[in-house]
Amino acid sequence: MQVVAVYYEEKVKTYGLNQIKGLSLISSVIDLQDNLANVRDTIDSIQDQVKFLVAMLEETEGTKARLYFLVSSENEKKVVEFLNAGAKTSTDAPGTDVISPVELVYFQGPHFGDRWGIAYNAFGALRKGEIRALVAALSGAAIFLVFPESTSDKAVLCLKEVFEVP
Amino acid sequence: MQTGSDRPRIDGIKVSSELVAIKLQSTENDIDTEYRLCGVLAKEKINMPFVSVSRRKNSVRIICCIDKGAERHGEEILSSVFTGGGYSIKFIRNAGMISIFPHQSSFKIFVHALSVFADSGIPVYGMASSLSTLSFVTDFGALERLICLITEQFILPPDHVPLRTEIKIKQVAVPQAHAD
Repeated sequence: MQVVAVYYEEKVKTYGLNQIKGLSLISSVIDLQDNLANVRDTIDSIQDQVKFLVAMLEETEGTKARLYFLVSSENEKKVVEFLNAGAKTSTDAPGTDVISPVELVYFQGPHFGDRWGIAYNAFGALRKGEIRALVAALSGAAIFLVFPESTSDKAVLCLKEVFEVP
Repeated sequence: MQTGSDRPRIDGIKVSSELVAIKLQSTENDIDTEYRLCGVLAKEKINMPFVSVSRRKNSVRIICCIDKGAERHGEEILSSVFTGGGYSIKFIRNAGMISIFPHQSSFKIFVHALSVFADSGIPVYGMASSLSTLSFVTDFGALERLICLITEQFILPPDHVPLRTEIKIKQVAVPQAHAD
């Protein structure tokens, strides 16, 4: 049985824009074969004391990957220590980079992950305002955008031009 | 491998249909790489169920996925646009996504999930968190094995069945909200 539902939207609908300031964006390259076991072993040092707002991974080369975590600034030190623990056995550990403070804007809408053009609308709105995200994670039905300090207010205004915010 | 008491608890797993993963890196100072990539695909009405973008120094790195059905046309058009010394583009065929939820913003859940890939040697091309899911871009052919491995490494509800993409969304043209 096929069910067809149709609706029309003048502007792309969202369930609201959320904004958080005073965050830290931490990134580190780890070798998934050599370093991850060390990272896993040190995870008890932070357990559930620290939560991430955004987590992202990019394969770089071979078995290496760059991890990104967005956390509140007060938890930056714990996360840096935890990631550096993973690099102890790697002879070419590049270390951990931190950008702080940064700001987060995130939002979701109906079937965002199933419809073409949503990402284009978002990046187009930002481009018009001459703002670029440091990191963007678009999966599921949500969009997470990390901005340099003092730029997320303008990003929100730009996004509201193309997205309907209740 | 984790013992029962070490295993984190999640509520479910979701797997995608077959996809093509695309890795694009701009090494020149192209500040609009993600906008241009998304614009090319939007113009062809090609959806991306996954996009990650990072910007470091003068380089932008993008990982995204398109449906297998759009493989030929998507590859053709993206290869023609992102050509030349300033770009590096790679297409990974037979890709797929596996998502676990809820992640509870937990580093433990994230690292345990990543360990499934690392310990089994199954590649992970990209990963991004959403409101409650962690979505991993990997090989489509490895998805069933990953379901088994994740079921071993996490505690799932006893009646759990992996979710599979069943709903097809068709979107007709909508007015562009911004000019090129």
